[in-house]
Amino acid sequence: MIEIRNVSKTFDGSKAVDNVSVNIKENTVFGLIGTNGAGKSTVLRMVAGVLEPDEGEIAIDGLPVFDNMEAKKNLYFIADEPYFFANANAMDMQKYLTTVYPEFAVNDFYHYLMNFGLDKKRKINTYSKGMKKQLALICGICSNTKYLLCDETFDGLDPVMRQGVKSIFASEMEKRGLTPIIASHNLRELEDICDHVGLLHKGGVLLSKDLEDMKCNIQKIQCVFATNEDEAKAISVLEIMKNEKRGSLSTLTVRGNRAEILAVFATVNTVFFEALPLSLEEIFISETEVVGYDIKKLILG
Amino acid sequence: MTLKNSFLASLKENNKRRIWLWIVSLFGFLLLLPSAVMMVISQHKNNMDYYLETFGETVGEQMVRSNLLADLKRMLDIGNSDVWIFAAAFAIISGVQGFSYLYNRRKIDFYMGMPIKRKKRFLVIWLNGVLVYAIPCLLGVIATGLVLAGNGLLSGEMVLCVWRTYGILLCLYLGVYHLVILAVMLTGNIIITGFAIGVLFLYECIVRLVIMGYMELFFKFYSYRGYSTNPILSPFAILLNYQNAYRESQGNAWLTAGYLLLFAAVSGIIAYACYLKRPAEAAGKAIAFSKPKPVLKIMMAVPVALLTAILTADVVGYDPRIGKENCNVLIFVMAIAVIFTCCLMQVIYEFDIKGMLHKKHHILISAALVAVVFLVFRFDVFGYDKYIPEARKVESAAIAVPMDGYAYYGNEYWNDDYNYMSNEEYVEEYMYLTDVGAVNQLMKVSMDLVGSYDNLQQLYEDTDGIFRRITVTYRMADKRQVHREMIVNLADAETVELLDRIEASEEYISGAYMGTSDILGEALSDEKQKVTMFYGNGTYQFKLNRQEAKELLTEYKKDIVDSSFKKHKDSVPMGSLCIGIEKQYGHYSSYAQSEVKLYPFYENCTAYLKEKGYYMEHYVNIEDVERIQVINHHYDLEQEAQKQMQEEMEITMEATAEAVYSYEEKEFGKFQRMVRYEEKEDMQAVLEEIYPQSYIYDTWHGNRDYDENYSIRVYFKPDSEVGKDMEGYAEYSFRAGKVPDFVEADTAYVE
Repeated sequence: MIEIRNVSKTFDGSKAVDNVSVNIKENTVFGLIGTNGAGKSTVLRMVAGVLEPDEGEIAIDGLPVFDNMEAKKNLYFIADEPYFFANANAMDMQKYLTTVYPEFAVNDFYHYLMNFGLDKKRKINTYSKGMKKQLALICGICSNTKYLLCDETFDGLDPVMRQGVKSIFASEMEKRGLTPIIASHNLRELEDICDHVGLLHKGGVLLSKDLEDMKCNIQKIQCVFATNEDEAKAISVLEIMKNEKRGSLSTLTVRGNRAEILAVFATVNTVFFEALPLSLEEIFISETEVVGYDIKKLILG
Repeated sequence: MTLKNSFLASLKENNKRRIWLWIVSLFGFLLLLPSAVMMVISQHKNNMDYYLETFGETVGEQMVRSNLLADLKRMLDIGNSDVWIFAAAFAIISGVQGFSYLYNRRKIDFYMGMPIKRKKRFLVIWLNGVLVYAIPCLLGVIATGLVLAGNGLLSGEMVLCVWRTYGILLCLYLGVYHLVILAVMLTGNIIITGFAIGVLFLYECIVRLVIMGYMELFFKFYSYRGYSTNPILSPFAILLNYQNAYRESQGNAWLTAGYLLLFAAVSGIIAYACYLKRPAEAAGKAIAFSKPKPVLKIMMAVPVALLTAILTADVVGYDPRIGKENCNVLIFVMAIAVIFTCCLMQVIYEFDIKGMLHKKHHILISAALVAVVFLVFRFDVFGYDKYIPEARKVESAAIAVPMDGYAYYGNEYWNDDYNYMSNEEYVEEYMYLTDVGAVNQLMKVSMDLVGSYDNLQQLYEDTDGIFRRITVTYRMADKRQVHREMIVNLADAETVELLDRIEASEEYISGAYMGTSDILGEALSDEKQKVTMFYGNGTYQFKLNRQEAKELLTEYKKDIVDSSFKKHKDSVPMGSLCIGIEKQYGHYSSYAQSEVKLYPFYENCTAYLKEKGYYMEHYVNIEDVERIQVINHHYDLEQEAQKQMQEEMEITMEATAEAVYSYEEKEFGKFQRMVRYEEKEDMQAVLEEIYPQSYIYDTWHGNRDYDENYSIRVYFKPDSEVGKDMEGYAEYSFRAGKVPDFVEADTAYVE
């Protein structure tokens, strides 16, 4: 597990990360979401042991990470603009990484290169931006580390590649318990990949939750109540996060278990009733509006 | 084993990114060593035919070999500047290139995200930086050895020379390399690193320059002795000091290597500590660490402003010692320099021109410090000009009196290795006066003298005094040296008495007069030395043999004991014993000459010269003279006329530069009167009163001792020996007040 406890980091007098505390469980895909300047990269660079926090602690499986080889052996960091040696090709990178990560999966590396259509002998500086990101991901996956830190790595990958990476993640998670931590400014990029999401804003964490929990705990109901008394009775029992009404049609965002909510509606008379699925975006909108933020402006823009 | 392998793997990987450096290094050393050696050998072999034809087979071959070995030794020894310039330049490139990843955030993310210890990464890069120099250097040295051996030129001396040179250069390389790494650690991009390297190498020089400049500007007793712009904290200075000593067959290679290694170790430790402390976010910034930024800014602004003021003082003529004390321009210039430097540093820090006026309080602090430093020097807060060390704290003293003009020519003294020294250097080396009380009293008299005038200009303009500067060196009990340059009035009886007291001591005699030292005697006794000796009086020269020179020196040593400062001051030398020694360096040779001036009151010398037939009553023999031409310039009348004309021009408001110029053109030489003497009687009377200009200008009285109105040209007979030697004529002067009456009458100005 990666434990981030009360971590702060200041650059030239401005706080990039302010008292962040997040726990990242093993064998999940953790999405770190936030606008530009929210502090995602800084958090990831601190987790990778590149930056030293001004305050707080970061531990990987209980080991402090900064300048600690034992902790770093368990992670691979892919920066937002991955670096490759000048004039190197994929084979050169593999040779270097093999010296650094003793368990580097050489066969898998070339297998993935082939599957992604990357020429192992072609110079990396002739690759497109997307190809470089693919190569960085392959390097990271094949390093066989427990944690893979990806900073904006999925931005710019086409849907096919994203699907490919997603399936590799799934396979690696199953095979060896890989824990990818993916930072992105775009919620939609992560929706289908992440299990757990942390939302950063202005250096602080707005929320950190399991997507499944969030999905299970928030329901969207569209209904037409038979009478005002029925409506009042239902609303008084439910934990309403949002209530929109157009004519007699009510759209309710309700916190709670689906079965319990359905049970409540079974006790009141409705002319029309339908439970709708919620997108990750809608969940975030609801959750952040509760704490007073307009998420649309923050990450959906 | 795993660690070792991983270290070697890291070395190998790091080297892949430094291949071009390996190529440059290998190419450089192959060019500087075996290729250059082959070229020199080839060049000498091409000259072989000439030598064989000119000097015969055996001698010719020996000469070629000897010249070749001398050239090779010169090329391969530490004096060859090409190799150390290459080593230093390569250290700069290697240091910057090795750690340049710290400038780039992408590279930092890549390397620092890896499970590689920072210490190990430093060690890998550092070691590669050393190997990339040392291995090609070693290969070059081995290849050179093979070339030399192949040509039968390899000798133990040559091997030692090469190893000494390249051993010291490796130490130099480490010193420069570590300083450059320190510059990289302190900065965040290559341009600022370039500045930082410049600052690290030059800062001490600039600070020393500023201190020396201000001492010279404000202190009336300032002596440049003991101060130098050569930095201590510089590997170049250590090497150059050794090179200078090595050229004089001195210098300790091991000690030099030790100093360089010590410097390298200290700078390396500091660089390494900075590396460990350097935050990753420093990449791309100007300065890697935030806290020292204000200090660095102020440390730059203060010396820059002070240095600007010194340069401006020179331009505007600000010199408080001579009463030119208007420092408004200086204050303005210092203020501008402080503001400019602080703003520039802030722009560099922020990479934003709009940020130039941020942190204004740094400007104020810098300005305040500049003002404090300026005022400390201006008002001599630490009492430099009033300091006289307590006699009990002084072990010994040395004074350099500009006797006979030695101080001005500075090349009359040698050390034990026959290398020239200045008068000050010589007395510092050989004079150990224990009568510190007399020296202190002289200092006190000098301070009273200087204090009695508002400024030095007034003192210089006082025609009643004869003012000269004397350099004093105090060797303190705590091993410090204190240097001062005092001004004394030779017309003052107390000063002369004190100088007599000092000069009468055996310590002064043995430390001030080259003729009393063992150096000349040993040179004369050493038959291997190529020595030339002659006695001359400014007109005639007599060649002496070694024995005669030694005997004359012995007489001189007797006479000098009975002489005094006053006697020297009031006399003009009757002649001088010149001893020259030629030193051979391969093809080249150098010549050192010392002149021991002999005065008429040296009774033993006079007797010896008479005995040997070298003594001359006058400087010129009448038998050799064809005619004498005397010119009386009447400078006093000319100056008077010029002054009068200028006053007239000022009255008529027409005093333009053009008018003065036209006066000079029209009136120059108007008062000059020339007369020729061809009668023996007249010529004899003139010859009795004339002195060679080189003798009379050099006396204590300086140019006041001769009558500047008169110039005397003696034309020699064409068939005389001296006539041939002197190319027909020679110039002489009268002493002031000793012009024969008939000459005065003959050259008087009549309208």
